[in-house]
Amino acid sequence: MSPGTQVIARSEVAAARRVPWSDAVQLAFLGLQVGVALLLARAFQLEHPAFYQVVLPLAGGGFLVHHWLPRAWQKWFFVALSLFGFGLVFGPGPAAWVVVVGLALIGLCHLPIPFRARLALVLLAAGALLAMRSDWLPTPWPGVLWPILGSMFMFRLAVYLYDLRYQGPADAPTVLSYFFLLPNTVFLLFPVIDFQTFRRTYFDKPALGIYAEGVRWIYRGLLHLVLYRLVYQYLVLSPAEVSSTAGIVQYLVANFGLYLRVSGQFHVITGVLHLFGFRLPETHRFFYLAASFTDLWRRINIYWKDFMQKMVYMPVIFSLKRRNQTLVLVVATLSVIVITWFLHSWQWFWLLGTWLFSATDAAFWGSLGAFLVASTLLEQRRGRVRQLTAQARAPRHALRHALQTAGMFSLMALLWGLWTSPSFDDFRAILSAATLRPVDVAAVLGVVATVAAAAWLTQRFSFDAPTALAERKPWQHPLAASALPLGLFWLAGEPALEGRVPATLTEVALKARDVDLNRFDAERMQRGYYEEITGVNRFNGELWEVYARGDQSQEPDVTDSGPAGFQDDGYGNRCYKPFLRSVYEGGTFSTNRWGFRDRDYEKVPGDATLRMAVLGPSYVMGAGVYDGEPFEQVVEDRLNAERSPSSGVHYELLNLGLPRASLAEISAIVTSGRVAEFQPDVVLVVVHMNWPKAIAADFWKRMTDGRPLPESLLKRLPDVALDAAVSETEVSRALLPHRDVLAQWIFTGVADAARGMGAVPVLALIPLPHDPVRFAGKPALLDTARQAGFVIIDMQDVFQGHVLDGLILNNVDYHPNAAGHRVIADRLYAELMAHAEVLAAQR
Amino acid sequence: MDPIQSTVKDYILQEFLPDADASELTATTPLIAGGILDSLATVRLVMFLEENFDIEVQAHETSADNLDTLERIAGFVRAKQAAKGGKQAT
Repeated sequence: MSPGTQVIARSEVAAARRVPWSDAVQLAFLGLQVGVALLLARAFQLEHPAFYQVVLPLAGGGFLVHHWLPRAWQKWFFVALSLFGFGLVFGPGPAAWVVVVGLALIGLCHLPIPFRARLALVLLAAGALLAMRSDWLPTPWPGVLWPILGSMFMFRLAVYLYDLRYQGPADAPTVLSYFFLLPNTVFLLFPVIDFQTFRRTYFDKPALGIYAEGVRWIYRGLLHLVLYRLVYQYLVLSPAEVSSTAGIVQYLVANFGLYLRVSGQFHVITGVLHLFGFRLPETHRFFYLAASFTDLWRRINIYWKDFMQKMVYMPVIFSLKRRNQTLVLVVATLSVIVITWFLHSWQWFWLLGTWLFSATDAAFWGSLGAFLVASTLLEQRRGRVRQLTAQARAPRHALRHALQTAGMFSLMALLWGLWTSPSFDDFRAILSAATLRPVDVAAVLGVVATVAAAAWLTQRFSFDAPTALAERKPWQHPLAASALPLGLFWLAGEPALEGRVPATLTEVALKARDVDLNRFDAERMQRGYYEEITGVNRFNGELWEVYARGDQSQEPDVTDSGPAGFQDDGYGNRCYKPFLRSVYEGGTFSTNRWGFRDRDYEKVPGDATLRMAVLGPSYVMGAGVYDGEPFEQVVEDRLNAERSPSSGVHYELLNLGLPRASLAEISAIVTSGRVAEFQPDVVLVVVHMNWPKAIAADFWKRMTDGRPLPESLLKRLPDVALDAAVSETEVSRALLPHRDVLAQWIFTGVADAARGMGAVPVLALIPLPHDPVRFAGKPALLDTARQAGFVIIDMQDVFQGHVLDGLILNNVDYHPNAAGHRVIADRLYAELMAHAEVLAAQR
Repeated sequence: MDPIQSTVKDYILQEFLPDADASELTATTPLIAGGILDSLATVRLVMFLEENFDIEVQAHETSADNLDTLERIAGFVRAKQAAKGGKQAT
């Protein structure tokens, strides 16, 4: 900091402190605004509960106290408040670990040895931590702390070392404030704050102005987070659901729109820091309205751009500055992109514990690098329009800029779609759904026109000027621009106003409060049990955070023992190997001599025995619960305890459930003779409403394994070219329109086979705890089964009224736990009691 | 406005703000925070400073601390010249 700046900053601060009564009123008004922000965050349940229960209340109350403290105490107070926040969110023990690890790392940077030796020691420590994060070394602290430690130190330590070398050491409270930031308690994605900027901008303007700027940013962040919630809950499509150009547009725009969460979080984080005097620069500026790649680079995640400029771009430029200038620019720009690519994976390693390199990732960064180099060279040749003040642009310039912006948005949405697609094949499958109907043209033109209009307006009225140049108008006050619309939007969802507000608006307002995973992600959580964690895409959805916040040190899943645990049942089907037995945490997983997860039974049922063969996917088998806990065993025990004494019948429920079993596989098991071996009186098939996608996954696996698809089904679908599919997405999309044919083929086959063995076919619709209660396709599915001859047991509402989080295994696996199985068992028992024809099915 | 500020101001107006009103570029106008000095412009400005004021700038010195305003640029140039003079004197 130059001496002149210090004089100005101090005099401004001193001037601001000379009018205590005016200060007090303004401060109270700012405090009130933070209070309203807290109420809104709580009303919409934005982000992690600790955000509105701990961070915002602490920030709101803390900054009022902080303001009146002597300057020398203020940073210490902020550090104490942050550590108190860590303690509240994680508990004293884990918070102590964060402090110990943090102080150790900071301590290494300050050892009284040469800088290079300190750097080597820090790298050594990073290597040890990396080994611990990779589970190569034991870790003494809870696994859930890794993402927090990562978000605090993975980049900030590098910036700190750099500034320590060139700027010299700072005082202890400044260093501790820099690392132990209150918002770090809840936000895992954190802007890379520059230490030099952090020091330079601390109370470098009058305090009340800094607080007001912070409040403005908090509100802007809340607005982004509510918009993100709507995009996440309403607009996001799974690749398989994309079936037209309009669908492609929705998929791409929604994916790009999910980035609102990052910008929302960053605004809130820096806004909170403003309340304690850290006048950090803006983090994002109208990034959806960038007109070129260089423009985008300057608007989106500005802290990252500054970090790269400081640590990579300028060092490369300066080390080559005597060479050809164009070549130097190309090398520096490409170095930034390559290192950004690597550091994204570095970031995800600390947050999730796995590296996130993929072909689509490489293609995205490669394309971005090429476009950025081209854009840089173009700008070097032509220059760019700069302005000293926030000025409205001429209509002609605004129009040209608007068209460029619309083109840039379209291209970026396309690249973003590629980046967040699981594979090239999936992305190709999405694009191959293109159609040309009036609605498709309208969708494309609608998006392009909306972006162009927004860009034109911001240029004409100079809304997107950098904060340093912006002049605020009264209507841009956060209470008018953010709090009022958010408050009204929240009110629209209140039951007291039902009937006075359009029903659609009420529905949208209620959806904005929905903290659950959207339909697509909830579905993936069911599959998450066996899905690779790398399937969790960067900013796409909320799954990555669910995984990051999950305790990574869970017991391994012993109920799904992988391919090694299965064998052929003699009919060409998969079954468990007989007599498997695993002991874990005091419970067991075992299979019987017939290769299913159940107690032992004779092959042929005894006299006066009613035997049910129960078939279904992982939750029927009892994924994640101990022997004796799957619902079929609970029902069997209860029937024998409560019904046998009066009926004189012994009940046997045979668990033929298998992980990942689709209805197609169940059909094959029933029709093959495997079930008939056990002479059941009832064939009970358990199904959930995501059954078509389970079939698509099953068929795609068969295709990749080189196993044939069911011939009888393919004959019914002569126009469906499954052979041409190159991804699960394409298989799913090909099958979805024919779900009625699929259901008919399965149910007819199973019902005929059941009757052929003298058994009553029963279909039980049983959801997983987080499944929605209502499904549009449910009546058609049940009608098809009924027509095929099934007795129908509809339990789709079985979990209604229960606290769902208490019925699932954990926050990274939505399968029912033992309590969830008991809920299913109670309802199934009652349903069986109500279906006399099933219990009377004994031969 | 001192001679260094004046020289740098003329350069910035000519190179980056050809259509701007010169009176609006003051000693305290934020050049980096205001989006006038982006990375490309910073590199060009640094080369101009090196050539015109006979100083050598290091990569880590291209921060807002030194280059955000005309006032800071002038202070930075003077400090570099003084350091160089001191070195030569010793």
